[in-house]
Amino acid sequence: MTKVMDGEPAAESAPTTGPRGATYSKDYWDLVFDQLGRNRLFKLAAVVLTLLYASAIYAPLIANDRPYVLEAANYAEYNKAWRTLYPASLGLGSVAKKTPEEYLAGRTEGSDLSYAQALENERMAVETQLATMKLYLAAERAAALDALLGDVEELVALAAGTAEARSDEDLERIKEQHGAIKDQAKAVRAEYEARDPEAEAPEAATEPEGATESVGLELQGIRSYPMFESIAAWESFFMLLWLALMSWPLWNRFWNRALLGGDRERIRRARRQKLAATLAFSLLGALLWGQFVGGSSSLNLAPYKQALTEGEIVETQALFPPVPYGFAEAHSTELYRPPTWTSESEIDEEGYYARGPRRAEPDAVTGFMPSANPVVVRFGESERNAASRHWMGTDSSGRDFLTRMLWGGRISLSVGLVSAFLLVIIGTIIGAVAGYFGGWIDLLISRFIEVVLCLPALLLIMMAAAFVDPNLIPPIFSIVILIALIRWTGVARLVRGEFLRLREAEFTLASQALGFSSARTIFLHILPNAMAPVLVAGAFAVAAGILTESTLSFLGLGIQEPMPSWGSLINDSKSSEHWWIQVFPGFLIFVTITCYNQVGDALRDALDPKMKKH
Amino acid sequence: MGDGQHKETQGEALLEVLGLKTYFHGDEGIAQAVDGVTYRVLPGETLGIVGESGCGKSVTALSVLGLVPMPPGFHAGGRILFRGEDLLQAGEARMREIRGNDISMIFQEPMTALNPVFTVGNQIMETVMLHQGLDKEAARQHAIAMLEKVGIPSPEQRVDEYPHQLSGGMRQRVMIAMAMACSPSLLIADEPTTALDVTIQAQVLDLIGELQEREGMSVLLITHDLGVVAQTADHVAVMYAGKVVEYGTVEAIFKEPRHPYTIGLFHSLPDLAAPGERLATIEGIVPSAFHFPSGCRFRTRCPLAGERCAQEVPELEAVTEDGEHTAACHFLEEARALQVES
Repeated sequence: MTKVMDGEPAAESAPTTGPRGATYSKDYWDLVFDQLGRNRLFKLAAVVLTLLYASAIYAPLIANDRPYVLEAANYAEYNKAWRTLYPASLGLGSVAKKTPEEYLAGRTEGSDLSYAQALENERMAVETQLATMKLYLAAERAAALDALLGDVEELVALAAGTAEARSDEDLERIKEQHGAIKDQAKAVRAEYEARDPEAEAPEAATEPEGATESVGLELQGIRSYPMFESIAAWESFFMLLWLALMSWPLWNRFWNRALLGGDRERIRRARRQKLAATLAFSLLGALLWGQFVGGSSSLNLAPYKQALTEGEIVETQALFPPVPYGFAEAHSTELYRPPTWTSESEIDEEGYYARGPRRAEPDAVTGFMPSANPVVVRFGESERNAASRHWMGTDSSGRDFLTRMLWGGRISLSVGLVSAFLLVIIGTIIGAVAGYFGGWIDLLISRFIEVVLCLPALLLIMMAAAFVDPNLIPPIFSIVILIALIRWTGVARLVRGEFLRLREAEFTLASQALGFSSARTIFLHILPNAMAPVLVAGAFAVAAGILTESTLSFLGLGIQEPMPSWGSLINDSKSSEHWWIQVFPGFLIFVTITCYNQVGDALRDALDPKMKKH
Repeated sequence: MGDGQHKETQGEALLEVLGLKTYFHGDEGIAQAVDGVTYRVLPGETLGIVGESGCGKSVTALSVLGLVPMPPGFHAGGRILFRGEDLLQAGEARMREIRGNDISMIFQEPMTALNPVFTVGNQIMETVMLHQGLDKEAARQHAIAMLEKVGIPSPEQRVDEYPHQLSGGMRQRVMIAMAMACSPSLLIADEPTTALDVTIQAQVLDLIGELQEREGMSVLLITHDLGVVAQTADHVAVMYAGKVVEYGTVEAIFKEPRHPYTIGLFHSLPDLAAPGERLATIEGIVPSAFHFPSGCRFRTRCPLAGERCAQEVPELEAVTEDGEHTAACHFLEEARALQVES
C-alpha cells in the first residue's frame, strides 16, 4: 500500500521549478501578494499613501525654521557673556571674602544655600561666561580666559579650604587673589568686546570708512546642525523604518541571492527574519540617534531666523530646508495671504495688496487709507512676491499653510493608524472571548456591544473629549483612546462571528484532540483564520479614525494650537474668501480616506479564500 | 447496565467504557445522547461502532477524549478506563497529556480538520514538539518521516505546503500522519472515509490497517457504513438511540445478527444478487433524544414490539454460549425467525 500512489492530481496550483530544480508551489501569502499586485487601483493607493506618510514622517526635514547647517557667530550671546563676566567676578569675591558665619548672617531671606554651595554657584557663573566667550574666540585670545579661570579655581579652593578657621593671613591672601581676578576681568572687559554687527551692517552701506575703524573683536563662527538636533529618537525611528521598507526590493534581492542562495523554500521561511531585521535596524538606529544626537523638539519656535534677520547671529553658512518655515512661525504682516502663485496675492512695498478683492482703497468719504505694515521677509525666506513664498497661502496668524499641512499630516495619519490598531486589539479580544466561550458570556458581551452601538459615537467622543484635561492627557492620546474605546464594536462583532464559525470547525476540535490548551487553540489556531476580515475592517477603521479626528479638531475639541491637524486647519476660516484654507486640507483628507478604502477593498479581495486557489 | 459483563476480560482491555452516560441540556429538557454504553477495545484490535446519524456514536468518542462541550453536556454516570485509569476523573492537564499522545483522533472532513493557515508540516510538528519535546529540526524530520509513512510522495516538498494545495485523499493522509505522530496506543477514527470517494476510501482504510499492524495500536472506528466495518473491524458494537443494542465479533454479527435493528440494517443494504428490487427500509425515524420511548427504544419501529417492550428496558444478553455475542432484545428467538424470513 505504501507504494500505491494517489490517483489524483498532486496539487491544484501548478508547481513552478525553482533554481535547484525543486518544485515550488505558491503559498498563501505569495498568492495574496500576487492578487494585490494585479490590482492597479490598490497599487496607486499604496503609492499615494506611502508618499503621504513620507511627507508626514519627514516633515521636519522638508518644512522647518531650523537650518540644516548653520555656521555662525552668536554676537548677542557672546556680548551678554562678556558683559556679565565682570559682575560675576565681583559676586564671587564678595562671597569668598566672607567667613561662613558672615555669609549665613547676611544671606538673603528664604535662601537655604550653604556657604560651599554659594561659593560653587558663584564659581559656576564665572565659568559659564568664560566658556561661552571661548566658543567664539581664537586660541591665543582664549589663553587669557583660561588663566582667569585658573585663578578663579584657586580662589575658590582657598576660600573653601579656610572656611572652618580663617586667620587674618588667609583673608589677606583671598583678597589678594580676588584683586588679581578683578584686574583680569576688567582687562577682558576693556579688550574683549565684540564688534556690534547690528550697528555696523546698515552703516557699512552708507559710510564705508566708519565701518572699518569699528572697535571690537571679529568672532569665529561655530558650526551646528540645529534641524537634526531637533529630531527626537522616535522620529528617527520612523524615518529609518520608512527608508528600510522602501528600500526592501533592493536589499531583499541581495538577501535572497547572496545569503539564501536563491533557494525558494529558504526565502519563504526567511520572511519573518526580514521583518525582524527591518525593525531591529530602525530600532538600533533610533537608539544610537538618541544616544549621540539626543535630539528633542521641545520648543515650537526656533530662534535662528529671527536672530539671523536682526543680526544677533552672523552666519558664514546657513542652509535652510526647502520650506523654511516653522509650523508655529507667524508672519504678522501676512495674515490670510492667498497662495503666492496667484495674482491676487501680490503685495506692494508698503504692505497693501496690489490687486484682487483685498486691494486697499481709500475711504470714499474721508479719504482715509487703512493702515498696513510692510511685509517682513526673514532670513532664508523667499522674496516678498515670489511664487515660492507661501505655496499654499497663510492662515489667520500668518503661518505658512504648506508647512502646517505637512506637520498636520503627522497627527492625522498617526491618529488614524494608532486608533485603528487599538480598536482592532480591543475588538479582537472581546470578540474572541464572546465567540469562543459562547453561552452567557457571549450573551452579556453581545448585549453590551449593542448598547455601545446604540450610542451616537461622535457625540459621545465629543462629550468625553470635553471632560478630558488636556494638560493631564495630551489631546492626541485622548482622541486615539476615545476612538478606540467607542469604535471597537464593529471588529468585535466580526471576530465573534468568525469565532462562532471556527469554533465548530473540525480543526478546532482536532487541535483539542491533539492535546493543545485553549489559549493555544484560540490564539494560534483560530485567530489567524479570523484575521482576514479583521485586516479589512482595520483598513476601513483607519479611514474612519482620520475622519473622526478631523471632525473633532474641526469642532475645536481635538488637537490644540499651535499643533496643526488637517481638521483643525480647515477650522481656521469658514469664509469662502479664504478658499485655500478649506480646499487643500480637505483634499488631503479626501485622498487619504479614498486610498484607505481602496486598500481595504483590495485586501478583502486578495484575502478571500476563494481567490486563493489560482 | 452490565458492569459485570466483561469482568473476565478486564485485565487485557486497552480501553473500557462502562455504563457511560453523556447527556446534554437542551431547550426541551435533557437529551440522553449516550445512555449507559459499555464496550471495550483490546490491544491491537479494531472495534467498529455502527449506527444511524444521531445515535450517539461520535459523542462516545468525544467522551473518551474529554472533548464533549461541557456547559450543555455532562456525564451522568459510568466510567472510561484507559489502561485502568478513569479518564472521567482525570484533570484537564492530564487529559491534555493523553490527547494526541496516547489517544488520537481523526475526523470525517479532511477539508476542514486541517488548519488552513499552517503548513501541514507545522501541524504535525506542533504535536510532537508539545508532547515529546522535540526541537524544531528534529520535529521537522519527524514530520517528513510521518508523511512518508502515510504514503505521501515527495514528503520533503509536501511538508511545506498548505492544506488547500493538497487533494482530499492527501489531506486525510496528513490527518492520519498528524494523529499518528506520537505513536498513540489508541486511534479514534470518526467516519474517516465518509467524505472521500470510493477508491480513496479503500486506500485510507488499508493505510489505517497497515499502520495498526505495524505499530500495534488499537482503533476505535466509528462509521455508519457496514461495508467499512466488515473490511476492518474485529468486534462490532451496534448503537441505537444512545444504547448499544448488539455487540459481538464481526463474523458473528454479519453471519447471524440477532437484534431486530441490526437485522433491519442488513436488510436495507442493496442486494447484488437481486438487482432492481426496491430497497427495504426500517419504518419510521430515529426518535428525538429528548423524547425516547419508554422501555425498549427501538419498539416504535420494531416489527416484533409487544406489551413487554414498552415496560421493560431490555439488557444485553448473551446469545452464544461463550458470551462473546450479546444483544438487547426481549424477543431474541423471534428475531431469529425475522432473519430467516427474509
